[in-house]
Amino acid sequence: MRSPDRTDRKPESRGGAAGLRLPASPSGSVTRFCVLFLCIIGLFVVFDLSVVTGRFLHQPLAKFTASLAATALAAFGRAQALGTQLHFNGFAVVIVDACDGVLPTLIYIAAILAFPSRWTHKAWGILIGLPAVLLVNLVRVITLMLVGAHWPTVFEQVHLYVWQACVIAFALAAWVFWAELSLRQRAS
Amino acid sequence: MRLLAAGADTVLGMVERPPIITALTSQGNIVTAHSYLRGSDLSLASWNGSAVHLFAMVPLALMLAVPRGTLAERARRAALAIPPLSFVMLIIVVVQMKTVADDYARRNLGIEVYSPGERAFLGGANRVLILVGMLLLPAFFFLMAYVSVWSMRVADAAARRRAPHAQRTAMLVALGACFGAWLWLLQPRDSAGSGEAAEGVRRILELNPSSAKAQFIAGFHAEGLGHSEEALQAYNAALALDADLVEAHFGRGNVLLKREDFEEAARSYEEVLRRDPRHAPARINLGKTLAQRKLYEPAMQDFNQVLEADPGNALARYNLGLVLLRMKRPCEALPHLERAIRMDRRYYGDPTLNEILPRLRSDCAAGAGPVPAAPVPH
Repeated sequence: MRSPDRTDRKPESRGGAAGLRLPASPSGSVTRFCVLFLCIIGLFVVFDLSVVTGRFLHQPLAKFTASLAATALAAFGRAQALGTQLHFNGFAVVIVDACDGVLPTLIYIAAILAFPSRWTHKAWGILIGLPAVLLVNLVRVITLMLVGAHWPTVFEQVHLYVWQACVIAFALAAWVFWAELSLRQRAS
Repeated sequence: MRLLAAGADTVLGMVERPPIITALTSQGNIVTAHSYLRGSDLSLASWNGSAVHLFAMVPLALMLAVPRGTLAERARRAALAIPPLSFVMLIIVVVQMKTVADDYARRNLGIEVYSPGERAFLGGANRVLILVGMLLLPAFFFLMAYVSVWSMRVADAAARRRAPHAQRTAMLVALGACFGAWLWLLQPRDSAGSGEAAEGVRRILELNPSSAKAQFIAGFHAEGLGHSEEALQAYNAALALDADLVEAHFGRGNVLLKREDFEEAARSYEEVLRRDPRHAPARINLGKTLAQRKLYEPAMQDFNQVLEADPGNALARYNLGLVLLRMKRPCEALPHLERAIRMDRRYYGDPTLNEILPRLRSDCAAGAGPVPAAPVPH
């Protein structure tokens, strides 16, 4: 004799999320997702703090972002990239590890990996979303330089709060787009 | 912000051993730290916490923007996120206040109040909190809200019926715990006793063994407690390290003035004025020492010099009035004393003045009469 629990434990075969291996209860799904997400983020943070990452990921990415931003800023004034330093009309910044866009990218990837979907979908999500988040970060750096050069008094506020919120909102919007697409494809 | 400041005050009372920040007060978005380092009258440092609201606003806005579920569902989930977010904001306020206190002490007092390890921890905590608060937490709450609504939709009917009951119980327990924790945090903490402050001063001396300013702070603290011998030793130690430290000369003069060593006190005030001729408190106190030694004319000159630079200095005017009384020039003293009372309401409560002034008024109105006994200059 099957218990009611066992009878009902196949939501994925009936609902829109066909094929997803979900726990039977909604709270189980949320817990599973949260635990996975936090574990992956934890792993990423450990990876991010390592010297190797700093040398082979952060430094090259910061230099690349600075040079791209300098190229774009040249349209608005005198811009120059010197390694991770970026100069624009007398205003200078150093693109540090926290500002190279790696962190929102890692959050985006962790969310994709933690969400129940096929590995091929995950791979597509990462391949398309990763450059998109980094591109938004580049826009962030460019606009911050413009703000710093023209309105230096509000630079810190825009740098720490406005753009951080915008970057994460964009990363999450990209993730939602991917998640909805992934669910719809599976349903069809 | 007032709640956050009150909660942060309690947390600081628990984590700071010995305490550097003894109290936090808030007005609008400005949170002010108080410490025995600058005495009870002056605040140590202030921080504008207007941006701290963003650490709650961003996650809440993102949770409301989840493109699944009804607005009521999203609002309910957002409301549940408020207690954990309030604790994140609380930690941000604590770390920020410790940082501004450290920054102020280093820049303006020239001393270290935290060890290099503690400072490195504070710096790291600041960076991590901004990244966690502005990136990770908003993302986490948004994703949790999204997955929660989505999983509720795809779950089967029986599980959907079961879930709210279990969730509601867990949520109620968590909310109750948060509410209780906040109630406890909002209890006013006991002010740091003199023992704790003395321990703090000892620690500052350990952290700044060759700093004249640290010795000065030790002297200032001992002077505040009325330990004149200890204060004098600390001021002398500060001056041995830096003979040009004006504050230490002034503090030394004040201790000696209280001990009625007027000649030595005058020497200290002269040292202050040699380095900073516009130091009004030192000039007033020098005038007091001269008046105590019955050198009324030079004392008057000092008070007049202060009043030339700042006619609104009530203390100088009051002391000038007292000296004129001692010089048996009551009708000249009267306008100065009356003006001092008008400028500084503290003199309203001065019993000696309250006794003398009516007599002076009547005597001076009737022509010069007998001179009332002048009180000692304050």
